[in-house]
Amino acid sequence: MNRIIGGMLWLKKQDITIPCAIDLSDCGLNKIEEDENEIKIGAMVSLHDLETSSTILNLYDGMISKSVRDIVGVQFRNLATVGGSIYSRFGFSDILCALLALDCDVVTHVHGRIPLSKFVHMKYERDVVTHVIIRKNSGKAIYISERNSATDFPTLVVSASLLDNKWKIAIGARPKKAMLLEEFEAFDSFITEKEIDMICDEIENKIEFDSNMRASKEYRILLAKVLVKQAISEVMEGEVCK
Amino acid sequence: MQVNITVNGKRYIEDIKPDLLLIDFLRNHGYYSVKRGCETSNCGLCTVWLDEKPVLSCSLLAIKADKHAITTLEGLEKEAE
Repeated sequence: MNRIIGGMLWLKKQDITIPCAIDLSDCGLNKIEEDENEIKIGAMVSLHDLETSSTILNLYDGMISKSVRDIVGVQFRNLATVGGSIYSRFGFSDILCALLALDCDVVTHVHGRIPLSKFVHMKYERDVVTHVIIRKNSGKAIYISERNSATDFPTLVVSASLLDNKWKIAIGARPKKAMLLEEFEAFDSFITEKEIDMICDEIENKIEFDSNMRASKEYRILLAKVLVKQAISEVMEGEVCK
Repeated sequence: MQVNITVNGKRYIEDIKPDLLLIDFLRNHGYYSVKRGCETSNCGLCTVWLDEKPVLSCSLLAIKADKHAITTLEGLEKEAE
């Protein structure tokens, strides 16, 4: 089966034969474009270009840049692509979790523009991710990752945002791929400590956690409760816990 | 496939196999400072500069370095002295 090679970092680890490797480097997809309302990121933008782009650094206090900076090393991030990361929807993906908390769409050749929250649950089809588009809603977004050691895969990741007075919380590296805590959208912009405790108590019933070599299911559940509370608190700039 | 790759200022124009990795292209030409460490794209031992950007030569096809300039440690010898 022919493959689009993206950055080829994870593809290289697979024991497969690729009769025809397709490289999109010359398709003009290595740009980050910005207009009044949106930021359009080409699929071939490297994770390091994303990390260091002034456009991305200026968005939500560099939340997306922070989400990729612990991924392996600069040499790796200079090759890994946004399109490859988003298409693959890896369980350990930092950037997938970060973008899920934002108002973000994916553009694919077959489906056109679709919400990332929908794309994340779709099957792996013969399709090409061409762009990721982030709407510049007003508000705050933060990203927290927990790693056993620097540059390792994350043990758990949490992203949270309060954009246009609407909450979004995503949890990834569960170790399955990131997903949104849907119920959060119903909350007001100010969440009380009692409400946070209530949400955290329910996390293990709403989100499926599991064990792998990096952490046990039980540890991840405890970690999720702490990180979600911390994330909400940081988004509300410490105004929680009243 | 024909490639045109400049390594430490020296130009190589030659036919290569499409699946040749950049690390193997470089070592085939005697640039032994470039080493294969982990084979999992993690360790960074195979790092070279691609147009002054550090990349993992173990994870990059040599064809993608076509019309680009590569710098290995050998190319920094004078600077090191």
